[in-house]
Amino acid sequence: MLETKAPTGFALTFYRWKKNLKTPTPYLMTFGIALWIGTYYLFCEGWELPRFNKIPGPYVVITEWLSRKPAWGISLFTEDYHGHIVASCRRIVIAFGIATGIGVPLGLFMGWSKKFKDYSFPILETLRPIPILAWVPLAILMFSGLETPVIFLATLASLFVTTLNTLLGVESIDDSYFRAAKCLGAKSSDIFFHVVVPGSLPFIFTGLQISVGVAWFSLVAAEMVSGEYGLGYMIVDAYMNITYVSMVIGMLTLGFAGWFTSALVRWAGNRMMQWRVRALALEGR
Amino acid sequence: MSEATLDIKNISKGFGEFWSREEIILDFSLTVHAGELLVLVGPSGCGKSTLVNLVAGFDRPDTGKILLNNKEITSPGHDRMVVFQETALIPWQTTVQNVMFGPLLRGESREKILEEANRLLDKVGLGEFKEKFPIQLSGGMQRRAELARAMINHPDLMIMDEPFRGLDAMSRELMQEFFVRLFEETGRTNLFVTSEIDEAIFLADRLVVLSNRPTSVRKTIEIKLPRPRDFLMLRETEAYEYKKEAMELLHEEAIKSFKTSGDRRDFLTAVSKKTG
Amino acid sequence: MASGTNLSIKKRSKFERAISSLTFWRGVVALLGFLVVWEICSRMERWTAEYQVVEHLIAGNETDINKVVNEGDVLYATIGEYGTELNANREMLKAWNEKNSPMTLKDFTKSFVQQINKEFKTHSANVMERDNNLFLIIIGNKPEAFKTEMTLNDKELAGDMKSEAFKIAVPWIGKVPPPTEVVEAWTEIIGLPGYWESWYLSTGRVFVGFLVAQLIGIPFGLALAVNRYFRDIFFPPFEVLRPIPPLAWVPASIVFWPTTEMSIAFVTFLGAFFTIVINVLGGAQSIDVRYLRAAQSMGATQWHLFSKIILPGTLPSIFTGAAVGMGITWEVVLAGEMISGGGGQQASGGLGFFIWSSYMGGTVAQVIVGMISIGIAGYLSSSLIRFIGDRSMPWRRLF
Repeated sequence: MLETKAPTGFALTFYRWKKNLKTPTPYLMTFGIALWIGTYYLFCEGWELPRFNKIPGPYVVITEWLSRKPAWGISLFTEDYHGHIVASCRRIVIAFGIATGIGVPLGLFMGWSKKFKDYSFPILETLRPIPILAWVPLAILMFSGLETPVIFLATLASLFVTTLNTLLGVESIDDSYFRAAKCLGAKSSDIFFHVVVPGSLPFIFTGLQISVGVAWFSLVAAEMVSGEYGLGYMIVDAYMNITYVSMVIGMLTLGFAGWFTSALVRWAGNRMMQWRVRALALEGR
Repeated sequence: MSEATLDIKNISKGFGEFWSREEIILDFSLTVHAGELLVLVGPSGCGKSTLVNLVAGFDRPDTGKILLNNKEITSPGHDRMVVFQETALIPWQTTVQNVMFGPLLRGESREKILEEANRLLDKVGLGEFKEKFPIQLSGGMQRRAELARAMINHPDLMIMDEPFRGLDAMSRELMQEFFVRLFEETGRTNLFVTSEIDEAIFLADRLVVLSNRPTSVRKTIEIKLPRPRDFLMLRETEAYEYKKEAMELLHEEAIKSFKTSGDRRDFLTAVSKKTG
Repeated sequence: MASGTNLSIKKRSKFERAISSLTFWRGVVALLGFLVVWEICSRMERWTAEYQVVEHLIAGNETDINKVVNEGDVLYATIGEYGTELNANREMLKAWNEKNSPMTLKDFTKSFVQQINKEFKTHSANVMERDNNLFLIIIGNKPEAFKTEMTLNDKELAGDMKSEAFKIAVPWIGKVPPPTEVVEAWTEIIGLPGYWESWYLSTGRVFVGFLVAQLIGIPFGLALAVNRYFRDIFFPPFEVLRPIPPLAWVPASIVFWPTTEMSIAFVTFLGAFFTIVINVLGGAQSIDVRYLRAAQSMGATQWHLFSKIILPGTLPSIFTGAAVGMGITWEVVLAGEMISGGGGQQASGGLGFFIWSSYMGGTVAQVIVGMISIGIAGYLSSSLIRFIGDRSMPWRRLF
């Protein structure tokens, strides 16, 4: 049997890379992106088709984004831009933190105690179908200032997702684990900390990933309707001041921020659930 | 009596990148004669399923040839029917739709097929469950439905990949009995893969004990029990001798596999597969 | 089986089973308790508060939002409790008169609003454009006492306002009108055709956007799943655009499309589209390879594999995606209606606009009526999808 030493680190990356380059995939992907940007460029800047010419094309957006002295006031080097990003991220961190801090224990308790679930679940289910946007006026009334309502809305959206996913996680745990724990003489609290919590972790992290996405979604909505800073506000402000280039920059920044935070949560989840990742890897998945 | 012969000629198959490449099957040859029920037994993870995939045509060997009636197998086809380890009944079709699926795909006339499907379902004892979905059938019923689905295609070769695994002891025995009757009636060439020795001896004309990876034929045992078979035969000294011989061979292979796997990862893989 | 009434097992309806379970009654108790707590919390302030009159004044003299405010124009406001005065606007006015740089009334009002929000913890302010007029909305913590809506058209507008001298207020929930008032408000408007028209308009928008998203999203997702080259080319741009929240598209969409209606429809479509495509793709890729192999070995062609295995196998994911997409669609339609309704565009009606205009009009109870209505509408539409899903996937329904 042929046994060669497995390459590691850079050599492995290089090998995979080389192998990948032999398939059409990387070329097609590059072509796809190029096709998209090309179409976008031609429609908006090249041919200036009617209606498309109102939307800033990729060239203008990129040059503006990278320019040190932006014509419309927003670029990578302006403080306004940084301020908006920091404001939004700060809100997300607070909202996500509060939602996780309340939602995970709430969901765990709901799954752990039937009585608690019976009392709390109907209220949750009654409030859940109401879209977050519909809460905007009420949030403005309930909380003074501009910052708190925005954070409240993002928190609320995340909270529903996190709680429900945690509850699902607890309910997905096989009954035999509970029985086994009881047979081994576990107390109720032991079951909670050694069965309920670790058993529902995979679901909790799936929930957290969705919850970050939902938090961004509602944060943008809230910032657009009421707000002073933040990426959502930046987009609306650019729209009102007819600086459409900044508007597109705002959209792209939002996309990147959303992608980045959910990648971060995924990474954290994988770190915390090493046992599960290993199990999956051993099964060859 | 079916006239189909399966010839496996010096095939090899391996997986993995160059540094971790492992040959699952290396220079393996085997012949299944026409109208024969050949049973393959081997230690778990020895490459039985890989072999089944190759014969079925889902995968191609790296080297060597597989011939069915002297024609090389290059792709899946309805001259070979596979019954898988877990049920592969299509969940969104009722039992009778599942059975009729193959012939209908090939554009055969509906009335004729329906008639034959009904006959087959009655034969496997599922007459009352025609309009049920697979999820509503018990494990044993699902296997019988699958047998009916395979038989309606009149394959030259039936390939059974541990088909009764996961059934409870009772329905397993019933299914074995049912299957052996079916075989004795139709005499279709059959390649049966299992890890249960009792099952193997009960069914087989010839029993092939496989070695550990890379798979090769460790020994071929002719099972000379008379047909029609019944379970009492398993208690006779003859059957006991077969069992003892096969058990010893298998045990040796299993020990070997444990010793050779110096790599801890292999051992973990084996363990996680068993538990998961 | 009428023999022996003792032996016959009566098949109970879902409802009968529900009312005999403890869970059901606990739920009822919880919801009633929720309503009672809400009622008490929001009544608390009213029961305990005493009011006092304070002065409230705001004035301006510009009508055209794009026109420059002239030098010497007077714009000032006095607002607050016990004589607290907002002087910042006068300073600002001075500064801008000194610089002599033209400043639109809108810009001025915006900074004014920011100033109010900074200075007064008890009030929040907002600017709104409608029918070419600027509205300045100043809202106190106690809605009835402090809410008013003023036009900058009027040369001078003074109003008497109430302020509380003493109160025991429950934070947050205390500011929400009690459930009894909500019910009252609901009974008032339930007979009005306007209310039902908002239902009709919003539902129409949701379903148009949703259906278009399904019609384009499902084939696109299936194509991504089935054809490797198609996926390699079109998936990367899709993945770049997907993380952008649908609402961030609203302004761009308003710029691009000629009418508000079309821009709402476009954003609605986008919101559902990404979810549906991802679900279809994931669903099609997770189909068990055994089914494909079984079909292949029975002589299925590529088209058979697609129509008999991949398509029905993807159905569950299609319906999951549709249910999630439906929720997003409602959210987006609502946002579109609120933003376009509140942004000086054509008032386009719908439940979102109903909420926004109730909020602007200061009838907070109606805001809650609107919220509940949307909740019901959203729930009904996702139930409809679940119902259709159950019907078209009988193999998942039966046990």
